[in-house]
Amino acid sequence: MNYVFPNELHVTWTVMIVLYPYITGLVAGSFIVSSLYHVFGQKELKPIARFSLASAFVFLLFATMPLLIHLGHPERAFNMMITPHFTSAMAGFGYIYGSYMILVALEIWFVMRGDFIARARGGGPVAWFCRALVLFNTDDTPATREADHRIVKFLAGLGIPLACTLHGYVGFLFGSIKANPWWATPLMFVIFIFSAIVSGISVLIFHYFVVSRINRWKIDAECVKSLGRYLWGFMMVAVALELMELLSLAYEQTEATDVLGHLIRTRLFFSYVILQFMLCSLVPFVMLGITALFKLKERTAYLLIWLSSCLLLLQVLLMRWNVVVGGQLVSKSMRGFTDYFPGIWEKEGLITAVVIFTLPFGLLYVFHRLVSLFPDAEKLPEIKSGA
Amino acid sequence: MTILNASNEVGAVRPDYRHAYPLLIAVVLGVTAALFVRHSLVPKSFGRYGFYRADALDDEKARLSRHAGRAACAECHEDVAALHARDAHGSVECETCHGVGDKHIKDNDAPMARADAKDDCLVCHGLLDARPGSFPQVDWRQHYRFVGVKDNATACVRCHSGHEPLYLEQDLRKARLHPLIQECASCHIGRTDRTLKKPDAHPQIFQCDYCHHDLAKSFARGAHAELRCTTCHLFVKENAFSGRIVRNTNPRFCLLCHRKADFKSESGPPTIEWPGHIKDVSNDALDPKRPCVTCHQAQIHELYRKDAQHAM
Repeated sequence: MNYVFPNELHVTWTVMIVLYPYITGLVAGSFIVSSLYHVFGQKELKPIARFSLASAFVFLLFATMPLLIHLGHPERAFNMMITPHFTSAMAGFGYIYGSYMILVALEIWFVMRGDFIARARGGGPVAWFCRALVLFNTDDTPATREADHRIVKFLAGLGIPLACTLHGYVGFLFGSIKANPWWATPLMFVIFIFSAIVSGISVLIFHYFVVSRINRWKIDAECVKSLGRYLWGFMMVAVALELMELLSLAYEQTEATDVLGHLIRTRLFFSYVILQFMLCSLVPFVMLGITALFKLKERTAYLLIWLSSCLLLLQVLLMRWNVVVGGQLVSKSMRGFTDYFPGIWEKEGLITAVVIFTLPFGLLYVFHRLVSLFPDAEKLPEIKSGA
Repeated sequence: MTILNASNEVGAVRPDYRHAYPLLIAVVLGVTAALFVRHSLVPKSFGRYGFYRADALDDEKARLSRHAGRAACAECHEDVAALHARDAHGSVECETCHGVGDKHIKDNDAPMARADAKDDCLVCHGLLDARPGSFPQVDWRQHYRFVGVKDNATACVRCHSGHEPLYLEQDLRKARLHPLIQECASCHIGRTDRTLKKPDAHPQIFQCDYCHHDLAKSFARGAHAELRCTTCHLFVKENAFSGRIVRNTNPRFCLLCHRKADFKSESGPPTIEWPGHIKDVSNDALDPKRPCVTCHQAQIHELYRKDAQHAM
């Protein structure tokens, strides 16, 4: 009895719309890690603080790219900014995104101003670019650094609620669609914020290990263990919230419960139950718990933390997939499902998704070539250990 | 220019914010410029009638129609239009397959499109869960296997003419009335999920065998048992109680499956040369319109005299 209305057969929100909250989540998560250092004084996160801020910035640059590729007329996206309306949730996102972009750019300017000035010495296009970047004011004194430090602290503090708003708003975009029983829950805001933090910390751990391994840098044990503990804590809250949402859906026994149960047991069984919860939540929960509660050899602890970060990156991606695609599989008749799997080469296909997701990492490399994102690690030579 | 070493630490010195002033001014100017640009980009007529650009109405009104309509086509192509009007595509506009006709009408040498590739037909007739089962649609792979089509790239029009896809003997919309036929497949075509509950207010099922029990039994034993009764006895629902029915005995309809063709393999239904077949099996004068059931009725289903008058 697979009854689907004609306008439900085609899944409109494709893998691009899966990627959009995923990348936005990486922004919010990375920024919050940098704020843990700048605002809350978590000194052990210093080795990764600058990198996390740069990550937030580059992911932010690419966060809207999947949306623009999804649109048939991307140039019309700006119309909603020109004539915004309260009924357009995306117009609100445009303004929040714009404000957040200004804030992150300003914070980076103040955090890295000293490095830009150092690069501004000498000739060549890079030096000229850096001089322009610091607005041709190359004063770098203890007094200016103190000012930068205070401004960064203020901006980072202001950025935390803004980062939560940015990603909570993405959750709101889904959670406010009352016609879709798989999305319509006020918990969606909170789930998105916590899963964003989990993905942000995970991508930083993943990247830190990979970059350190490639460059033969010494891993900062305190930093990694602290990140591992934060990751453990935030993933517990994120997964608990996801399960609580499921619990409330099951307990409410609304007219949608039957079909959603069917959705979970059939269409999403592999991606939701097996992958998202069993493999990518339970396994990292155990592994991170072991690293946090037991004394392990450094190399073993690193391996467990790195593996957990990989699995949790996948967990959050699967969560986005199961929310975005899963919600569109259910017919409003509550009596049928449609199908979706992206093509490989199509406009909104897997290759496009991989390219979009890879671009921020490439830009991070360019950023690192301009200004070192791991200044402390570079100062320390030797060491062949890593993940 | 004063450069500090990286080792210089910030400490309890009086902060100097002067270097941040140009940036602050740049941000304020940038935001102001952005707001100004936004304001200047709002169309002048925006909001006159509602939350949209009022001039868009005039823009739309000024657009010229590019579609000419079937009447314009029939002025020159009367014969094709008449064929097309009484067959299954009768309600489909010519320009649906042939593209917009404005240029061709102004200049008869301007070519018209011909949407006759398999994928063009599947836009409407591809099997989709979301289409009502009463709408003709096929799982083309299964259909090609069934008919024995060798090459998957074969166009549908090799058998089904776009103008006369079913070679109907009469217009189905003007055919005789028949009580409603409503089978499971009338709505649920393609994949079905029997694990879902049947709703309480499910429409009543009216199957052919409820009234034509003996015929249905005979049909189920015959060579055409894989087909539905409504494959040959075409039925179109008109209201909740009845519809129109026509028994299609046009030989060209049977030949959709049974005509020999280079693109068909031996795995499909038995095929014949047409119109040579009549000469091969009878001494009668060649009559290409003679119904196949004249000789082959028993291979479809037996006719029971009692039911014969209702056998349509």
